[in-house]
Amino acid sequence: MLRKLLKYDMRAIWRIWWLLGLSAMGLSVVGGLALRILNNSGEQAFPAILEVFAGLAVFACIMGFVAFFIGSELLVYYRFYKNLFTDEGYLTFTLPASRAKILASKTLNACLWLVLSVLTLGACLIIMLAISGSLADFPTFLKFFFDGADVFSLLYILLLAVEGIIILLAGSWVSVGLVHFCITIGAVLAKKYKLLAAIGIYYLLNMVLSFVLQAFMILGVFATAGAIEPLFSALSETEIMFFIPLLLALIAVIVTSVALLIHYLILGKLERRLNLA
Amino acid sequence: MSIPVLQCKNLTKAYHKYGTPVLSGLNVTLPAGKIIGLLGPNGCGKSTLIKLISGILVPDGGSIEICGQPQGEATNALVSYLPERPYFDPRMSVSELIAFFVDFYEDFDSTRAQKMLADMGIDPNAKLRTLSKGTKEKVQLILVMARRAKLYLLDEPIAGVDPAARDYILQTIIGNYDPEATVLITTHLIHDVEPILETFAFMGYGGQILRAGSCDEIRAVEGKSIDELFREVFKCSVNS
Amino acid sequence: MKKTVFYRVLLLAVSILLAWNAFLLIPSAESPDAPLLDWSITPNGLTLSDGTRTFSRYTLPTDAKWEPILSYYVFDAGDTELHIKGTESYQSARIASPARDSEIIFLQATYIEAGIYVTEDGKTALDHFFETRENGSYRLARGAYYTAPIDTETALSLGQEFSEITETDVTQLALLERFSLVVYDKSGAIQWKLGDLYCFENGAVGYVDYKMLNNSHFDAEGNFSYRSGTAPVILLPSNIADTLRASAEQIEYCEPDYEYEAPATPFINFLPLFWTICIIIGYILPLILLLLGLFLPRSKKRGNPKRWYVIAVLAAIWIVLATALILILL
Repeated sequence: MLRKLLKYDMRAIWRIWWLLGLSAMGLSVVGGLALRILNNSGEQAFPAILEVFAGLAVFACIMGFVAFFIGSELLVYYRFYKNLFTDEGYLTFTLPASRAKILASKTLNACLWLVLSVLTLGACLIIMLAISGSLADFPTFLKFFFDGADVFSLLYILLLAVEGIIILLAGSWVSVGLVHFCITIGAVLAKKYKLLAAIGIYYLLNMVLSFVLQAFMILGVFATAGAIEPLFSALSETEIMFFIPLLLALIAVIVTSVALLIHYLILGKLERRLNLA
Repeated sequence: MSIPVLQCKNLTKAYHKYGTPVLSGLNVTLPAGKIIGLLGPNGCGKSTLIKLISGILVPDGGSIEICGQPQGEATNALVSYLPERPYFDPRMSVSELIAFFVDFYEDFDSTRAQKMLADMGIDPNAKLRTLSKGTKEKVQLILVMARRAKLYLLDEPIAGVDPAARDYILQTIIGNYDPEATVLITTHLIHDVEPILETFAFMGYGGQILRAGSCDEIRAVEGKSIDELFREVFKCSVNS
Repeated sequence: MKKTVFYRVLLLAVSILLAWNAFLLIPSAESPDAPLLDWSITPNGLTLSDGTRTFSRYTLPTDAKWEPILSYYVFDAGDTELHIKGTESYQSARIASPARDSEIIFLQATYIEAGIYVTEDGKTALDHFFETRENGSYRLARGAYYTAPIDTETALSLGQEFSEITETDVTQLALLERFSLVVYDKSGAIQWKLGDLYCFENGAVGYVDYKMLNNSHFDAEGNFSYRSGTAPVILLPSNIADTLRASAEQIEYCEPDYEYEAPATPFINFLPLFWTICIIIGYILPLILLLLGLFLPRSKKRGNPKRWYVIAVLAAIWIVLATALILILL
């Protein structure tokens, strides 16, 4: 049932997303050509007006990428809101699927599109840089990076990379979960202006989280200068080798726990407090 | 003794934590194979009961059992629900909706659905947003009645529809439901629905069942139509 | 609270975690053992005091300098308040030493020329070292921080009388590959340059012993001058030349390590704060989740225990990983 729910969720987003993605790709080609003009403006004499347009084109391209990313995210979150908290909820909640599966499908859908959008953006940037000729040195850089690496160090890098990917995926789950949580709370608290309430709660939550994070970072800087540096400088190479993967594993566990907690809070609201009138 | 298709015990639901409960300790048992009218004035809790049975709302207290199973994922597959408002994505076409129902509901009869669409002259490839309000409601009804469910919940199926369409909808309900299934219709348009009802239940404010019974018996014994009885029961409750 | 086995085990686990918390916090709140040092100097810059010991300025030979080879100790994180005795004024100074309790002090201050100060015992030891080079350790050096050790026997053999001594034009010497012969005192902080070694193209190695030179061979800064003139070059026997060349191959970068003394005053000791943050993130937060994950399934209000047991398992893994990290740090 989860697979079916996910299929329809993804299909609903794909209807519009493919157009956004294609537009972004097209923009990357334009941006690449514009960047090429700007990169070669020293060697070749382009008319000044062309360089100005090229500069504007690059700027427009970057703005387009931002719009693509934000648009993709809004598409997914609007689907979540419409599917659960408007009249379409009558269909969603009467399907032969538990609320846990419905929420899991929406969350997975959002995470997948987030990853896809990031990958598409990455591809657009690579296309843009490749067309502009800025990637010529990349193979040399890769060779330099991996030259002389033995099997053990490659496996170690792989382990760190895997842990990093887990952290990124769990992080995307947290970020998606926070938006879903705000939309759910907004719908539960405000019967009439659900979206507005959701946006307000999201803004408030972000403010609080930013404040806490900033306070933590400032404290962290002082604590690092005064405490952590002497502790770390006393670690041997072997200890550092164990420390880094363990630290990444701890971060992955923490982020996953936070994601699960948010997920269960949303589920609790959907299972008990949601009154679709 | 056959298992009742629906059994609600001590059902309670309030929309606000400190507000008056819409349903308060409601006990309802519905037998299989009947067309039942749940009748009552606006705001008495008919739609709330329907939504609780279909799983859209969660009760604050009490229990709901459908065909002996507690309300949940499994019972949603046994219940076919028609809400009082359009609830499909307007960007979808009729054929996409049929495919959707085929995918999610094992009891969905797509052949019957196609036949009903053809009878009503509805283009399967048309997108919902291009259809009129009445046609959208017909599409919704077709999709709901094309299922071989154990319990059909029709919430105000003929409200806001012209009289000719009302007759058509009622005929569709009669002509396509499974005789072993139960159809629960909520409406305040009793006069139009009465001809198809076998059993009735009057629901008052607070979700209490004021009176219930066989429609034929009322007509035979008391010599009144259900509509007349309704006016009598609820006129009395206004004056008392 | 009910006295079931479950609650007793939970209480025990919480008590252990709180005890672990206290164990980590208490030592980190202690201040360092080091006594307060109160540095002062006489206005003529000849006598330095740390509040308990007195150091006198020591004049090193021309070719000797403060150049620690392995490690040294810096007082007050490199920025010491130096009181000028008999006045109310203070200077900011960098005061270092081969070790915290060494007899030798190196002082650098804005209005005082950098130099060495020694206790009586330190003076005796240095005088003896410069007279006899006893207990000295010899190295070949090329520029700052590029050195390699050589054995004492080879180093001492360079001081012997050799028959072949040639007066060589210093401008020719400037074109050759060269490195210096230096000797360190037993503290490893005073470097004394004894001479320079030159590698000739024919494989021979020549040694210019600074004992055989006079002032005309050096410039104003005291460095060997390659401008003009000649210098006596001792042509070393081939076996010694080979040993020296082999040692010179081992010359590598060797920057000394240094240790700061944490000031006894007023910067906040962040260790308790750091450990408190570690305890909160590593234990308190997952403990709350663990308790939720174990208690909520038993609650009638919040159903679906499987969901909460997953949280409890994650919280347990969290605590284990945090413990492992803290053990590595301790």
